[in-house]
Amino acid sequence: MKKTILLSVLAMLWLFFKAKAQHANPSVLSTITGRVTDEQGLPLPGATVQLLSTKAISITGKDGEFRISVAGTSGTLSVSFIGYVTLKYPFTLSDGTLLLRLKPIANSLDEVQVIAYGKTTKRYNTGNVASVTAADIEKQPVSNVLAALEGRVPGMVVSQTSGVPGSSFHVQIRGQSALDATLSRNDPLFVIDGVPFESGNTATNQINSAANNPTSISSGGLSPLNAINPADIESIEVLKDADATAIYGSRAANGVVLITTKKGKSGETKTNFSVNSGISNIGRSVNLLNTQQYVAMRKEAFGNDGLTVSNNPGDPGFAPDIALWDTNRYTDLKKLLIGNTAHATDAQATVSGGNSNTQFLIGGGYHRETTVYPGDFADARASLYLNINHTSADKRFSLLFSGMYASDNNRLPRYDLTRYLNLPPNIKLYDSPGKLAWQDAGILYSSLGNNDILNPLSLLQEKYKSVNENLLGNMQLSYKILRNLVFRTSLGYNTFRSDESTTRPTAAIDPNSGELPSAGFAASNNRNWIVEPQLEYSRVTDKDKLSILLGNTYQDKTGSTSAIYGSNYNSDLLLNSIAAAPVITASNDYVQYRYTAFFGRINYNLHDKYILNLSARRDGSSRFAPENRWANFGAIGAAWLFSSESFVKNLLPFLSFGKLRGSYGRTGNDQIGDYKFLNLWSNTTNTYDGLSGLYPRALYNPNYNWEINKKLEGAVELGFLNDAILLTAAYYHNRSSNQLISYSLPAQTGFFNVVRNFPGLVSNTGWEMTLTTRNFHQEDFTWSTSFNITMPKNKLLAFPGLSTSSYASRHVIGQSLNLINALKYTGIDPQTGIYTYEDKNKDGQLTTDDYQVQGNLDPKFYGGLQNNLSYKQFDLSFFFEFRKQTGLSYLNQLAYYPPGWIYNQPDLVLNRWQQPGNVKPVQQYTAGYTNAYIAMAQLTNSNAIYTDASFIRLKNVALAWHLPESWLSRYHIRDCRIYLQGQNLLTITNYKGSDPETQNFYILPPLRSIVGGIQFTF
Amino acid sequence: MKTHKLFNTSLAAALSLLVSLSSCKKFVDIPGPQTQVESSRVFSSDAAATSAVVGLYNQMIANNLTMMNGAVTIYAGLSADELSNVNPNSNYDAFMNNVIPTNSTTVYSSFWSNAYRYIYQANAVLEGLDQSTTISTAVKDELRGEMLFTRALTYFYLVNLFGDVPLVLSTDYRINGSLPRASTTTAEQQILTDLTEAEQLLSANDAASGNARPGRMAAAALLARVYLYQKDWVNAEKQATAVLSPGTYTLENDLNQVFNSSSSETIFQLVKPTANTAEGAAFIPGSPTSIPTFKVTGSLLQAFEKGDNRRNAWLRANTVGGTDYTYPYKYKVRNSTSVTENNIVLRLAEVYLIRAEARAQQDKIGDALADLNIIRQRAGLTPVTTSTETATLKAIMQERQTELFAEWGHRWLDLKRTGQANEVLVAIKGANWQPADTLYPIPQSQIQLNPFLTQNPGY
Repeated sequence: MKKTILLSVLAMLWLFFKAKAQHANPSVLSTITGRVTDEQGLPLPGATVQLLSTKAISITGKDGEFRISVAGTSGTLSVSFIGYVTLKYPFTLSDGTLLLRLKPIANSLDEVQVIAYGKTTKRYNTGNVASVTAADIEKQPVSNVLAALEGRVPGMVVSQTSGVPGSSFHVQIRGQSALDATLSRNDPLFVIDGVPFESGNTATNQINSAANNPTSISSGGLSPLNAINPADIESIEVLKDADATAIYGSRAANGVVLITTKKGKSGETKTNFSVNSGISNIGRSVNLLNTQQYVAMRKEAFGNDGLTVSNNPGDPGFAPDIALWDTNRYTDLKKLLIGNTAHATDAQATVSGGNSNTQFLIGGGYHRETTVYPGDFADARASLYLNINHTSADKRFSLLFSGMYASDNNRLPRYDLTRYLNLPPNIKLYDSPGKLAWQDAGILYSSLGNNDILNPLSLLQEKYKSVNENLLGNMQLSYKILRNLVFRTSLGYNTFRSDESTTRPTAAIDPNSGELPSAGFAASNNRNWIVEPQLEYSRVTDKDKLSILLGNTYQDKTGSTSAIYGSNYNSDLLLNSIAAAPVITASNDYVQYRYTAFFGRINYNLHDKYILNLSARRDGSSRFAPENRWANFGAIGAAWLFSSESFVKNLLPFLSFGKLRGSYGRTGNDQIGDYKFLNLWSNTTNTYDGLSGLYPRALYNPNYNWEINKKLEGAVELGFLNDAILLTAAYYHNRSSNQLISYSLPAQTGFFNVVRNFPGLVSNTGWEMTLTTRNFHQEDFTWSTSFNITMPKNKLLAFPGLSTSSYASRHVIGQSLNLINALKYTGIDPQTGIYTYEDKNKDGQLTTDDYQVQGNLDPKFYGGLQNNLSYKQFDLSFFFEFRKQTGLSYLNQLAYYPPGWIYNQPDLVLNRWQQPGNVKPVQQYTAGYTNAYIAMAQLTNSNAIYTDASFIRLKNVALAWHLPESWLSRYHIRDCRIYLQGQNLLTITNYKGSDPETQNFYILPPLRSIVGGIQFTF
Repeated sequence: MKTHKLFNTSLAAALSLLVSLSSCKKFVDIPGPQTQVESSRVFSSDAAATSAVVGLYNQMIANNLTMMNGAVTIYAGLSADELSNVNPNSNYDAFMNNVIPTNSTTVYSSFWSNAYRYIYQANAVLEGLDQSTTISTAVKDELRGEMLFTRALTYFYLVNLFGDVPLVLSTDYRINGSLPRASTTTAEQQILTDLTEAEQLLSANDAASGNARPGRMAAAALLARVYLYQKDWVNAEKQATAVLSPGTYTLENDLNQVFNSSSSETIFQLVKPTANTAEGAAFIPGSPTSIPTFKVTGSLLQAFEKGDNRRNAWLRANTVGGTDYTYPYKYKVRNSTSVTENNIVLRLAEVYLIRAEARAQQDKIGDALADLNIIRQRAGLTPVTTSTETATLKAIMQERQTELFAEWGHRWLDLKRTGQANEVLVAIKGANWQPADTLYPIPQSQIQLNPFLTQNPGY
């Protein structure tokens, strides 16, 4: 018996070896070795490498290494790993050690989304949250993170106020609820790493600079978000509906923008270094008349008025610009003042690494861009960022710290030079080399026009500097008390400092004015800390998941501002020293704001199919009088993943994902400034007869209380073909009532507005749709597309007492808040050549009684289209933004500077009426106060100044080339990428005039930029 | 054991949360603002209440070419026949040619909204004083008198420039926001009531305060003017005498000293510690060879008689390119860090002329001439000896034109109140002049904000 067993074992062993030998026999047996890594060069242990001819498999080890025996000199390997595109790699033995890189399959459904006080995935989210990730932000050569969001977030409109570096953006989520957008802000809440960024989207400057153009929307200013380095951001989540925002309670009425910074990851220490450089020019702008055209226009204007051009001051036809000044002189002011090429440089470096317990990321960045103005002006930002995560060995305790610091030094001219493009093109700029001219032929520039004829080069002498510093840190400590219970507290601190100085030296001043040099200095500091202890209970069974969160918020914000102005300096030498000023006026202010809340959330997930989310918050804010301080907010959200139901799986096999979700809730707003409920008097700037003076600064109203915003949303999310096609359609319906606004009052009340609750009801409804498709994902070629579109509608539903209020002529019930209620423009009379308007009530006069509703200024629809392609080592992506809207036309500027007056004009005015019978868009030229002038001035009361300002803009193109690994591995470089990026490259529009986004050719339009750079990862 | 310990920890954590919840309420009780004062504290002491009063004067003179600081001089001067701007300027041309658009920024911000801001503060102080129990009676009366005077002064100009205006007498925006235009009669009645009460409350001893704040004489002088405009000759004469007889103020003999900050003729002036007058800055050109912004009209130059010293003292001309540009030179400082001239609101010369006119209207020719000739004598002119009321009044109007030119719009108001505006201005302004131009337009934006307002005819 024993012998038989021994014999059979020996035989089997012999057969085995024989078989093995047989396999190797036909030719020499070689071994192919290699490593499998991801795109960044990090090893992928556990990947499957299969030799297609023999089907032999090797699983990669710790460093991603594998070895396979190969018969023959060549073959094809197939490499696969979960979440990555399978790679087919043909090889020959002479290739040596192979380095195989796998590209990940991105399924956006499982991407992590940051939400209020936690994280979820798109798949299980019951609320409406849109994400923009670092991948999208990195492709854009922008300095302000808001620029990177334009057109990418459904429901959110982002508009640039001007092309001046550091200037602010106008942001609005899901429409306007405030009656008057220029007085009350509809800004969302900005939260960075859990710390509310109190500076938000409010301009940081106290002193005006080129970024403040009085004719721009919300009049511009410097953006505080410019002090945030976009390269430090991991993702931005925009929370829109009640379910996502109610837990932020009183500050979430206008949506929430959550900015999350990059975190360290465990693994090898990785160093990343990127530098790029580029140029920018102004985008769309208008061409102005040259001197000959200008002179001809002026002459025609006087002719139309029946006057002869005269060189005698006091004559009605006095026109020094054409009768006295040199009419052969021509300066292309556009080229001189805003035609410079701006240069930008950006450098970023990060080091990250860690192990399973501790991870870190430290990064530094520098960004500098100059302006399109002549002269030495630049915006430079230096930033530093640190993130440390630590989890204790027993996984009970964890610490997460992230801190960022940036200093943004912005040197700008005091005024946007674009404003002065309309100076006469033959204006004399220099009396003699180096000496600016202030008069020509005995006529002082200051005596002409309306304080707006001056030597534009003098504006370059008036300097402005702003240094904004942002320090933000957040520490989150959590301790797992029990298996299901975690105690967590997050401590945040943010301080935002702004220091400004401006000097007006002799060179900037008209020597004929007698004005003496002056200077101004301003400083402001916004400091806030926040403490949020939380308790979270979570229980996971194989059937359901339950999580309950309870927490408290304590926030304290203090803001201090001061401004000192010195004037009547007797020399330029010490303009920067306030002590040298004979006359000093100073002011300061200090405000404090405190906020506290108790909040909770219950999230219940049954079978990963039915999800219910309840959230609630009770807020107290110091901005209200004691009786009105407290309010309750809350929301309910639910989702049904019907694609997981068996009957759906059977009925619709092509449906890989299907979710129906809805939410309803109540949020509030307290964005109105502090102490408004008190009756306050402030100091006057000067003393009077030796005594200090007091005066009331504002009307007060002690009775205002919380604003209420009710939000309802329903949405369906579908995925087809294994989530290669993802479609989301959401309908939202928001109602704002009791809004807190600066309610417009007639001046006879002593002031222009008062803070009170608006007794009306505004609804914002709309559809948001997104479509994401993975068109191709093969080893060599991938192509994915993402499309989003929003169709908003705004309506004033109710306003008791509208007809007797200060808003009677500005709003109509049933129409949008941004409606156009104006005279109806009826074209230019071919016989007289003058603008005409419809006299609706036929009373012979044009008054507000003749106003008719003619559309509105809300966008009809807007959105974006993103395409990402990659072929072998190349990546190409391009993004189009589109918007259909009505906006201000060039006639709006003409109404203030009628063609024919002593101002240069865009060449659009050449298309004017000259004699009876002409049918033209521009009326006859006039040089004075004629009927033509009166008709021109009426333009702003009519719908003639509105036109289609829709556009499609090629917002971003990014092309990158990854250097082949074979070149890199020699130098231990994991990845090297050379890239070319462009922003605002092309605008397709019918809009005549300047840029359809800024809608005013006296504002610097958004710049067109191209940068090229290189990025290394070690 | 271990679970027990953990359970305790979690209980403690939960309890601490609840504890912190209860202390929530106190957390949001913050102290009042540091750089502003709450109203009840403003009207709790004499000094603070006085600050609230002088704060209003400060506001009135804070910016150049606002209603109480030069705007009436310039714009009413352009509207009448005394000033014209030399170079085309849309803002000034509108007034000079009497084609003021209803959306004129000057009308809205320099006149209308400034005026109502001052009225608000005056009302706020009056209400605060009323409610206060800790301010001494003497001070309370004095401050009340000052604010009534200031309110009356502001309404005086509002009514004379715009006609019917809303009469705002409280700070409650809920009522004020929808007030319609009150008739001029009602407004003038209110002005008289305010000034009469002010005259009683204000102390006589106003010379001591350096006439930077209105005293009893200021109220009397303004009352005299208001009565004159209302054709109440008896009261006008009475009030004028109340100012003239005590001899607190005397005419300056040297014409060049009349508009100095220490002039003995000034009854009430607004002072600014850091600057001279807005009129000085506006009228005087930067250098002797540059063209001034405004020049006086030919008709004003012709109005001066031969030998009138005011022609040389109060006017100056720059000759540029062979042309003479004559500009007002009452205030002689353009800008300087040392302050020697202030914004004179009421001066004695006007009171003489008021009494002269009031007396002439009562057929007291002799007495009228006595007052008139004092002014003429100061100007270096020979006395007039008219005998009829008409001739005397004509001489007085003529004297007002040459004495009070380019000063607080006196010429414009005189032409309007005597019904001579059309006759005189048609000859000078030609086709541009419409009878309805005697009133400025109500700002269009205000009619849109307050539907109860109506526009003046012709606009």
